[in-house]
Amino acid sequence: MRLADSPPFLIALAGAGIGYGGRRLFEGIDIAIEPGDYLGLVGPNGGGKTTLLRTLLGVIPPLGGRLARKPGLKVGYVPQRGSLDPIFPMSALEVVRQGGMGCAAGLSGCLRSAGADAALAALAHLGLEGQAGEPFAALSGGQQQRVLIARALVRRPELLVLDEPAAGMDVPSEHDLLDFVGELNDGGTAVILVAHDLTLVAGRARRVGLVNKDIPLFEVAPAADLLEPGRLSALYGRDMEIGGEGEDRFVRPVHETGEGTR
Amino acid sequence: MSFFDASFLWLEAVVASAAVAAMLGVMGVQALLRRVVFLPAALSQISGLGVVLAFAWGLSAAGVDHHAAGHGLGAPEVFSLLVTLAAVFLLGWMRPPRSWSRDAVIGMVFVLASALVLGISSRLPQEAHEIADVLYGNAVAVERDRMWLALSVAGGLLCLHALLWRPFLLAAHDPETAAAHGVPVRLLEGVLFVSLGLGIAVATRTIGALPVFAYAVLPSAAALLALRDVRAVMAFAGIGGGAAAFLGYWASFAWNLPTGACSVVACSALLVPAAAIRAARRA
Repeated sequence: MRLADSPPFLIALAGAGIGYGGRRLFEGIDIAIEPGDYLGLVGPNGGGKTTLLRTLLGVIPPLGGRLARKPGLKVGYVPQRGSLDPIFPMSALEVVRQGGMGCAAGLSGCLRSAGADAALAALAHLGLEGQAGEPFAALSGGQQQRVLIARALVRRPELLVLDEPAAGMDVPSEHDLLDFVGELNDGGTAVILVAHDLTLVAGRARRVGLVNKDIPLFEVAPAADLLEPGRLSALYGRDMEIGGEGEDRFVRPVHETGEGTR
Repeated sequence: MSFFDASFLWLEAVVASAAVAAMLGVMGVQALLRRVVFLPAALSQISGLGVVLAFAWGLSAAGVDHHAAGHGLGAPEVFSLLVTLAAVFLLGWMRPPRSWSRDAVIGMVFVLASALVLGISSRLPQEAHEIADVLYGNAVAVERDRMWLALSVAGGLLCLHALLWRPFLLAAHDPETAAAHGVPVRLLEGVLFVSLGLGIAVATRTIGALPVFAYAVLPSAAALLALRDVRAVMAFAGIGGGAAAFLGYWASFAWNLPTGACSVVACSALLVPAAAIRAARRA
């Protein structure tokens, strides 16, 4: 892919090698995230999704090829919740205020946190105004996840990136979260959602990327084109079935008896 | 003679100690949150290693007289600072093998630097107490120019940390998000570690290695025990460290005890109100 030929993009990888520590997981990756896009990256645990995501975000460099980014792009990133050390004595409000820092707008932005009013508004948007003063580490898993989303949103991102946002959530909270992300996308915010559970993105993402370094497989296409049992069976290395429609669409492995399970 | 009547004896020492203690208290919070609790001790020993290497290589004789170096910024001290900053660069930027934590590497550096200080200083021709003074300062007698140096460095580093405390915290708490948002994580970590190296090198030379380790660890540990807001934690650690420095000198004067040891005990005493605050909060 030549970046000059691609439509306006927020982030793009062209002919990129993906990996870390000298270990290459993928070669020749081409992918571009456009304004208003909704890309779901799915694949088995340890399949290379997070490494691909980190490369796209510039956290780790591509091993060859090219990474391009729209100048001044504002990215809101929601990491896996378990990666945060609980000994930090920070309130939910303080965590959200961190979201204002970023160097897209120059050096001064690197040092400036979001204002308390903006951070409170972001928390209120996620229904957490009552928890603003609570220690972040003392909140429930679902509340922590919403605080991290508020932190990503307080900077008014053009691209929202969520890495396994539903991990550890109950099913209703999971659906509420994904509905909320869908509303943001409807409002024009581009979204990259990483999930190991294909069901989470099957009815929501416009495009799906199947990622598995062990095959290796990297394929991005409109969700309707990729969500067919043959491709998914190749991705997960076992027979899969697809059922339901729209946001109720599900994907599950087929048991030897022929019955699926969720 | 009362403690305050004898202020001409201790004024410079107490002011210098309180300044570096406040600085170390604030910076110690960042070290503890990064789980590198032995970093101040290791840097203190590396700073000492720089001093003995300067003596061993004749930098003292070629540069500034070592007695003068005991009062101002002499060649051994400059060399010590350079060695400390080089070590900070290596400790801050290297990636240890996965089977080692960063604190394990720091512990190894501490032990090695301590052994080298002992081994090299035993071969130096200067008298042991002269080297010890240059190595670890003399908390009892701090000269006025030394006090101003300590005040300047402490003031400058406290201003730096007041400006950058949020980026420093983000870089440690969530480096991946920081990097994704375009925050220069490695640069921030580098600035933090250099500030620690500079502060600890000057503090060690002013008040000695043991109090430096105590001021860098105990007030911040007490603050983290007592409080749940990071700004309050830093304020408690800074003010508590400064107050412990004063109390240490007072106790040393009142009971004729070693100043360094009294400073450490005064720092440890901060854990008592901290535990009480924690217990009250939980009740």
